Amino acid sequence: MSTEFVDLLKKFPAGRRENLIPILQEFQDLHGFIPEPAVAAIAEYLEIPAVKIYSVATFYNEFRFNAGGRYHFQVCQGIGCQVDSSERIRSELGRLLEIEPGEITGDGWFSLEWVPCLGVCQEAPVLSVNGELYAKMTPVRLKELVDKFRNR
Amino acid sequence: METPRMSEELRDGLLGLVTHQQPESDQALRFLGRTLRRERIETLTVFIDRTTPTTIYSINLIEEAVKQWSVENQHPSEIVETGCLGLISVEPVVGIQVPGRARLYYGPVEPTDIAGMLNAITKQVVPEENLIGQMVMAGQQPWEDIPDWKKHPFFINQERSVTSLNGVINPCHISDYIAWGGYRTFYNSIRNYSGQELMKLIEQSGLRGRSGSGFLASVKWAKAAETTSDKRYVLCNADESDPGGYMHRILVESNPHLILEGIMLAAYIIGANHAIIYTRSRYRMAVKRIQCALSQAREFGLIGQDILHSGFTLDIQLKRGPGAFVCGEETALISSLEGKRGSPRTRPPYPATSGLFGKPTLIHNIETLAQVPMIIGKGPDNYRQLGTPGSSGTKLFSLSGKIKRLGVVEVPFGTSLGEVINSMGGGTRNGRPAKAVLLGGPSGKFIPVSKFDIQLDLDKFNEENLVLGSGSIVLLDDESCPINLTKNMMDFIRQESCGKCIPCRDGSKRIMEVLSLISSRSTPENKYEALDRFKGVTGVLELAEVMQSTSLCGLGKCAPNPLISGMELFREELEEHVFDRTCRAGVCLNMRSFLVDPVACNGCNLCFVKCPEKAIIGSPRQVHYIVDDLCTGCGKCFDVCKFNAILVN
Repeated sequence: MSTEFVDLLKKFPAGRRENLIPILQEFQDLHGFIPEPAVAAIAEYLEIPAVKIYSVATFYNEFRFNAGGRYHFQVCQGIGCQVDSSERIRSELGRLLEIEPGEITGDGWFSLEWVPCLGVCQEAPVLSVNGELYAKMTPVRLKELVDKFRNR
Repeated sequence: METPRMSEELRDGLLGLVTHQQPESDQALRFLGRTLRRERIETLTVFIDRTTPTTIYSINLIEEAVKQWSVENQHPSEIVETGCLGLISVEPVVGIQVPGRARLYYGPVEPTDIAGMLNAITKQVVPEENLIGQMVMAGQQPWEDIPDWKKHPFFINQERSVTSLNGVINPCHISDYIAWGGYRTFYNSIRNYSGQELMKLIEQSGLRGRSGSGFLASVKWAKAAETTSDKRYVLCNADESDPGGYMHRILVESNPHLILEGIMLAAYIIGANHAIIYTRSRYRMAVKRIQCALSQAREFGLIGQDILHSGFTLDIQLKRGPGAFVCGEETALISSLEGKRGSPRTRPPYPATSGLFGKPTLIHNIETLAQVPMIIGKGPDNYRQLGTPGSSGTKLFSLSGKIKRLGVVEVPFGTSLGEVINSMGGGTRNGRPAKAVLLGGPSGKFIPVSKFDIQLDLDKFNEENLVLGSGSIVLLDDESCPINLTKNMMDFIRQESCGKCIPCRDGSKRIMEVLSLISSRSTPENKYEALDRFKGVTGVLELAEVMQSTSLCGLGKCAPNPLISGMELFREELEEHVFDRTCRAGVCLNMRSFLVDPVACNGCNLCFVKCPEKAIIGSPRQVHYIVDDLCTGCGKCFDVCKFNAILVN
């Protein structure tokens, strides 16, 4: 266990289940995802079985159990984007990267996720790559974008 | 967004503004108020909208442009961060104010426009390009022949009370909120009135929850206050998560202190000493703004022990929701806060008697709580003047879809849907005929154009068996496919269903399968597959009804709403999908088929190269041909063709 992790746990009283979600959130903020050893350590600290932690963590959209790709694509699923045919973007992206949402490409470069409304409906359809937003996407622009990342 | 520490002098001044009986009568306080409200400014001030909708633009470049202009022209300037006026289709919105004159709002503004605009305005000339209007405050000289911003068609019929300060004040500073009269109601309440007296006001106001069900607030409040317990909680649900709505996010990002004041008053009235704001972790800007507001309120002594020497103690915490649509349901939200899966449970007991950790808990969404300072500050009679007898006050709606002016509007209950769509929203984006509206997101119902004169009112909607929901309005025109949208909504429910009730968990999956089948192109299928498809279509309505009547929570009960109302309204279109296997709007991806126009095609070979399925045959400078059996309808050829030679069927 890293000292960082110990410090994080110390912020929360031990054995209190209601702190599970905040602990998972802070851990993910620090490391980007939640690996197995961390779950075991949190389970010990909060005195609940690890399986309960998985039960809670898999329920919510936020938690990830593997590192994302180098370029993490998040496609907006809001109605605004859907009405402006974000479905074309989703199917095109699936075809370009050859992965399903939640998966990573074999080379570890790209990962894909569908997310709820990103809040920029006036520029629909939008997607975000590593937190940077790309607006008014079309299949052609999407291909250019993916190629740009591939050639980096 | 760092919070600068407040000087003692400013702190005392603000305290005066909050606690003085008539701050306008005290010269020093009046002066301070005017300065903080920026009615009276010393230098050129530029107001830049920084909320989620503007994250996509290069706001930093706009700031840079202002600073650079300042240096080049040796003209001092100040940049102020603001919230969002509500009109997001013209983002980024920038306000410019010179000493003595009214503030001018522009949008959309490019970084390259800034220098020209500042040059003109400092020379007392108003550029009219992209102008929204002027905002005249007390003691300012208005610009001649420039319309007021409230005369803009988007704003003219709005009744802005909850959103009145959105886009006007700096949401990151408590001083802005206090200068506009903020926290005075709270101070006055905790010093001079008892919880019971204030509860009467809430009861008289007829306040109803803004989250779909429209439950009478005072019933909940009274129950939470009456139940004997050592601890009570107020929960503020800011976990909007409706895929079509963004009004709560805009509200909390533009004026977080209003929400805090609402929570404080609610806590005082029911006698709670703990409050929790639950907002989605992904709403990063909202999380930051709430954190910032909380730390300022704490520093100012509005949260903590013995608030402003009144003896009232309150602690407000922010909890980040890890993202689940079902957590909008109150019992699911409580489970989530207790560190469990966000599954709803049976009611009763209602949270008002046994909620978080088994204690009486008052749960409201932020829009409902934002009404509270107004009700108590201005009195219930004043509050009831807006809206209808059954539903008092105003309601926020977010406009999206194929609408011309997107944004958040605040209108009194009783305003007609048509007025919101046509006069505020400006109708459809390209002037195409409107088809319908999906009101209420994934739990809402379609409303056809013929019913656009319906009043937006909770009782009227119940009578007509419609859903007002959270208030997200999505406009569809003739280029949108309701079947496809319903399918996507059902897919959303499938992903978000907590899995507790089988009708919702498996029903949403099955409905989604049926809708996918009817919105995909015909493939060679054997007779059993064809039979299966038709069985699905004929049984889908029954399945929807089972889901509606046997699910536990609102999510499952309302999930089939778009399907049921859509099947009624768009029967013809649905039959086209089922029997003719065409989508007249051209939205259902797999259903489109493409043809090459032999006259327009000059054999550039681009579509041949780009086709991922190798379904296009042809050689350079020859007319190409699409093999229908190989084509998957991805539309790539259509997108790449520069000669409009690909026709969509």
